[in-house]
Formats: sequence, structure tokens, C-alpha cells
Amino acid sequence: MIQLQNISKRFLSNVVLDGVSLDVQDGETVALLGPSGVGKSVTLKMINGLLKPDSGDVIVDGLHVPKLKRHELAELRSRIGYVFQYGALFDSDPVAENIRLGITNEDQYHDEAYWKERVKECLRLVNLSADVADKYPAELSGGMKKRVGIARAIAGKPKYLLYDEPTSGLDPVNADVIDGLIERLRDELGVTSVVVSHDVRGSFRVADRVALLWQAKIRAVGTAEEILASRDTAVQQFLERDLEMSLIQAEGNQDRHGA
Amino acid sequence: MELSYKEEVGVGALVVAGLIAFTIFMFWLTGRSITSKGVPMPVEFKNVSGLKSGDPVRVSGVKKGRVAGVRLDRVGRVTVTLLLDPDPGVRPHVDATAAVASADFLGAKYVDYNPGASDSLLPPGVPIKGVTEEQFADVAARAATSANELIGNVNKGLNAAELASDIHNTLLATQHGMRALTEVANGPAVKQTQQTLAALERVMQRLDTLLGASKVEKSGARLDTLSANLTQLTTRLTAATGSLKSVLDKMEKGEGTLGRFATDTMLYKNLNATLTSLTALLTDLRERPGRYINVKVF
Amino acid sequence: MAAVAGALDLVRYVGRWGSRPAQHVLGNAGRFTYLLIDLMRGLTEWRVYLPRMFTQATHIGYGSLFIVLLVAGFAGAVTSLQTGYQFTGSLPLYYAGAVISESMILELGPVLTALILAGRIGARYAAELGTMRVTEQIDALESLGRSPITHLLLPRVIAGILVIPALTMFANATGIVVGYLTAKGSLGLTYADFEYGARYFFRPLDLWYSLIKSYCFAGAVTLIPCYIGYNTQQGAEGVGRATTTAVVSASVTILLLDALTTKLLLGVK
Repeated sequence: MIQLQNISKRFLSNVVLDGVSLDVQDGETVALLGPSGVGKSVTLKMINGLLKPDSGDVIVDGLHVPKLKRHELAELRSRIGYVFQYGALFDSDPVAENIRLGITNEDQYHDEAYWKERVKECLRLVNLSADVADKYPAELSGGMKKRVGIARAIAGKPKYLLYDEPTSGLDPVNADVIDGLIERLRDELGVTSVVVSHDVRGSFRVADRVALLWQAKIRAVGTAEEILASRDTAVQQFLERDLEMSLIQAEGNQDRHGA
Repeated sequence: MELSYKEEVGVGALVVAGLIAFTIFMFWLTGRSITSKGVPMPVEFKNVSGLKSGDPVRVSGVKKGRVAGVRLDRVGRVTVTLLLDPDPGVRPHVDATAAVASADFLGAKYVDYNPGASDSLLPPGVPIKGVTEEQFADVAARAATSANELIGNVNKGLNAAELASDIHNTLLATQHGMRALTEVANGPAVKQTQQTLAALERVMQRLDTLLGASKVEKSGARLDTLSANLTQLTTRLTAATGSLKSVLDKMEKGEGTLGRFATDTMLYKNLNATLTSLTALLTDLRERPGRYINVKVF
Repeated sequence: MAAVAGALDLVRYVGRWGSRPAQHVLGNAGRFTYLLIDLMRGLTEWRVYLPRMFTQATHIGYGSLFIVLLVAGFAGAVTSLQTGYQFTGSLPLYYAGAVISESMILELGPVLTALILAGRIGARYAAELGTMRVTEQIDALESLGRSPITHLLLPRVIAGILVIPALTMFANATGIVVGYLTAKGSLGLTYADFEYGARYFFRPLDLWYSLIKSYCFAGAVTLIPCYIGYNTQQGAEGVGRATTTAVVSASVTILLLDALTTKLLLGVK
């Protein structure tokens, strides 16, 4: 279980988060929705301790993340898979080594039979063929990089998965593939996920609950239906603008297919 | 993993090669060889004037070994271990001798070793007596005294013959001093040189005045040569004193090898020139003493 | 009152301008110290950094070999020619041997090598780590519960400390050999004279000094760019700035260390 308790964070004079609280139950997928630059990624990085809140507490599995010692944090992180926005693949290593580095158990990492098998399995889980393993990140397309990023995040069999903008920068087809992947991993691996996104449609599809982050605070939390039914003007405004964008994109695609 | 095994070998090769380069350097530059096939021979010296291990041992000017170690037993006794080449021709006889000699002006030393010609060989392990060269300090002090005496005599206006022999002695002593200077470059001895040169300079100035006065009356070609020689000598002595002083200052401050080079070149040049002038003057005096007396009488 | 207020303003003004660079310097010093402590702590995890260290050492060692030897060769040749130019006629020829070997071992070998490697290895390290920082690769490593110190920094630092002294010794050797060959060609210096001169002014301390210096420089060439690259901020521009800063500060540090080691090791005798 992930608990964010009243966390605040500012960078210089810019308040990014102001008293944000959110609970994520085990087995649940929560989407953190909001326009760019409202501190969604910052929130995500606080969950695995890459950033520390100025005030408030982050509790994962009963551990107070900001107060953890170095080795405790490393141990906790091995239970949290983090999918970075642009993949953040180690570009000096081939895909296989990238995924292998995701194997957080040091003995398994050095066990050649185990890690080769695990790399294959993870590639299969993200719908990539086994021959991708020998390629370097620079040879991969954007969508493939994201999928390798996901494969790396799940290689250590994490309990939690944190997705930072998993579909941004992808065309709608690839975005759908990734969304499908998130659903599938939830079902197959039973992981607890937090998905940070500004893509309303995708979030509604993959998430059990959606939290809308607006001007450094959580404006609304609930299931897709509850959010859509919300009378809050800010929520309405955000949803309308984004759904419009989606519609335009969808139309554009249909036009292309028609012609 | 196979790949990184290759890398390990590569890196290992690089580092080991670096280590080997270092070791070879050390052996080459200290003049040691890995297979030490030299024959050790102890020599007892009173004073080794800065001899250090690695310096060559020469027999009649041919390198036949090196100094393996210098150990101070007590004040006035230094045991130097020579490592002689395994050449039967250099095995020490009972009358073998060794002396510390200077290879050049800048303080490089070597051991001048003479295996001796006696019928019986020296038993191994028995030290031979090292001959200590006449110390520069003594020579310089003598030169200074003699120069001062000369000035005193000139001032008292003693007779010409005595004055001439005085000057002659001074010049000889100075020349000896100069020679010695080229052999002992470091240490407190050099300070004495400064005194000597200062004294000598005063002599030369005086001589110059004397000669200048006499030149007006007795303007002979031969006199001119002598006078020119002396003038040249004076100028050079001044220059030499100057550079010697700066070297001494630097030595006192303890500046390193390379820092010394620039000034040493100057000093070396000056002293060399001075020596040449002195020699020329002395030759002149020895060949034509009459001309010298002539000047004195004026 | 106004005067007091004005004076206070002035103090505040001066204070602000004075304290910012001071904070900057002290802050960097503190973070650098933390980094050093982290590096020390990470030393126990040899299983992580050793294989990566070999990869780095191969890259920087063999990659830099040619340029280092080239520069050292030229340095030796030029030293030799200049020695000939300055000394001919005034000093015995064998002094050229002393000047070539001593200047290569004491100064040119270690310092030139280090300066070249500051450009080659330092820039490489800073750019690599800077890019990894701005593309979140370092965060990714941390998010996997892995330490960037042992995975990225230690292999690089140890590779440098292992390889740079070796490269320095090669540079010394190349410089002296090329210097000798040049002197032989231009001055007619014989090997015997060369060896004689080289040995006369040599003390074993000189070579140790060269080695110690190269270790110090290896530290500067690797640690500073690693630190700067590791703390890169703000995108591609940040990477560019980190690379430049890394090379400049590594080079300046090398020169400072040069002065310091010379004073400490050869200064007072």
C-alpha cells in the first residue's frame, strides 16, 4: 500500500505540491492526471525516494520513505518498478543488459541461466521479440524504448509499478498498445500501479481510480464515472480540453485511414 | 562475460607494461642491472665529496664498475662499496688505490680506481685505502691569503722583484684554486671561492692601475699584450664572481637541478674563460719574465 | 537613521554578493567530499564495479595510448632540439641527456599526459555522466535499487587511476627515446654520453615523484569530471557546460597539483 500524507514540495520559489494526500491500495491501479508541470512526476519520484518532500510523509509497505537509510531505500526500490517518461535506457548497454540490470537480486543478476531466461520472459511480457535483446537502445523506436523500459521495470518482479507518462510522445496506436500492456501486466502480475499521465482517455481505460492534480493540489479523486460526473469547474475544464484533443486526433486518424 | 575476460587481459597487459616500464627506467637510470655480476670491493675514504651510489668506477678512464653504496661509519671515515666488473684485469692487488675524482664542474663524481701492479692480489673483503684529493677549501684559502699578502706588499711599495714573485705566486695559487673549483662544485667550499675571487679582483684592479700608468711612458708592443691579457682577465674575473655569487645564493635557497642549469652555464663559461686567460698570462710570464720586471721598474 | 539604514543596506548588498560565491564554493566542496566518502564506501562492492571498470579501462587506456605517445614523442624531440640550441658550445654534450630525461620524467611526461587525458578522458566522463543525468539514466539506476556510485563512478575512477600512471610511464619512455634519437641526429649525441648524462642527475626519487604525480593527476582527471558530470543540470546545454567546466577545472587542478607535489616532494632538501 502506498500512502502520500499531506506532502509539499517547492523548487526555489515555485510551489509544485501543496498538501497532497493520496492512498493507493494493494492491487489497485491509480492514474494521476493533470496538465503538464503540476508535479505529477515529482509525486511519483517521491514514492520511490528519488526526491524528498519538503514536508509530509510517504509510506510504502509501512516504511517511511523520506527517512529510510541508503540500504533500506535500495531494498525498497527493488520492490518498486519505475517506468521513465523517455525510457531512460542505459544507452551504452544492449537491451538484454538493460533488462538484466532490472533484476534486483544480486545473485540472480549473476546467474547467467536465470537472467537470460528472465530477459526473454520480460520481452515476451511487453510483446517484443527475443532478437531485440541484442540491439542497442539507439536502434529502437520510441514505442519499443518505452516497452523495454517497462520490461526493465518488471524484471525484478516488483510489487509496485510506477509509470511516468507511459504514452506521451507516442502515436495513438502505440499509446493504445502501451495502455493494453499496463492492463495486462496488472492482470498477469497483479502489481499495484500508479500511472502519471495527461492523457484522459488512456487513464480512464487503465485506472481503477483517477486523481486529478490541479494547481499543486488534488482536485478530485474517484472512479472514471465519478470524475466524469464531477461538477467541479476545473475538472470539467481539464476533461473537456483533453477530450477535445483526443477527438481531433481520432478524427485525423480516421481521415488518414479513409484517404 | 567472455568479452570482458578479453578486456581484463587487455587492461592487465597495459598496467603490467606500465609497471615494467617503470622498473626498467629505474634500473637503467640508476645504472643497475638485474643480474648483478659485479665483484664488491670496499674502499675506505676520509671524505667522498658527494659521491653517490650509481656513480661510475673508472680504471685509466675506462668504466669498469659502479659505486654500489656509500656508508658513513663515523666522521672522517666513509666506506664506499665498489661493484667492479668481473674483469681479471681490474682485480685489486695489494697496492690498489682509489680516489674520488670530479667528472665535470657541476658536481658529477667518479671513482678513479687503480688495481695496482703488485705481485700479490688483495684477499677478498679487505678494504683498500681511498686517497682523498686535496680539498678545494684549503687551496682557496691559500690563494686568498697570498692575494691579500700581495695587496699588502703593493701598498707598502716593496721592491719590484719581490712584487713580481708575489704576483706570480698569487696567480699560480689562483689557477690552482680555479682548477680545484672545477672539481668541488657543491658545499661550503664554494663560499671560499667567492673570497678568493674578490681578493683576486682587487689584485687585478691594482695591477691594472699600475699597468695603465706605465703604459703611457713605455708603450711597447709586448707591454700591450701583457696589459691586454690582464685587462681581459680582470673583466672575466668580475663576471665569474658575479655568476658564482648568484649560484651560491641559489644553492643556499636549495633550488633544484634544472633551476641551476641556466646560471651554471654562465658560470661555467666565465670560469672557463678565466682559466684560459690565467693560463695565457702565466705562460707569458714564464716565458718572458724580463718583461714583467720591466713593468715593475717603470 | 537614514545613514544607518543605508549602511545596513550596503552590508546586505555586499553580503549577498560576497556570500553567494562563498556558498557556491563551500557547497561544491561539501558535495565533493560526500562523493569521495560514497566512493570509499562503494569500494566493497567489487562485484559491481570490477567488470565495468575493465570496460572503461580498455576504452580509455588503449583509446588514449596513441595520442599520449604522439604528444610525448614530440615533447621529447622539441626538448632535445631546444637543449641543443641553447647548450651547444657552452656545456658538455652529455648534459643534453640529463635535460631530456629529467624534464621528461619530472615534468613533461606526467603533466602533458594528464592535460591530454583531462581533455580526452575528462570530457568523455563528464559528457557521459551528464547525458545519463539529464536523460534520467542515473535516476533509472537508482530506481532499480542500484547505486550510481558503484555502477558508474567507481569503474571510471578506478580505471583512470589504474591506467593513467601506466600511460605516464609510456609517455616518459617515448619522450626520452625520441629525445635521444633527435639529439643523436641533430647534435651527434652518442648513446654513451646520453646515458652518462641521464644517470648523473638522476635520483630514484625523481622517478617515484613522476609516479606519485601521475597518481595525483589520475585522481584529478577522473574525480573532477565524474563529480561535475554526475551533478549536471538542465538538459543538453547543461551537458555542454559540464563538459567544458570539467576539462577546465581538471586542467587547472592538474597544474595546481603539479606545483603542490613539486613543493612537497622536491621542495626542501
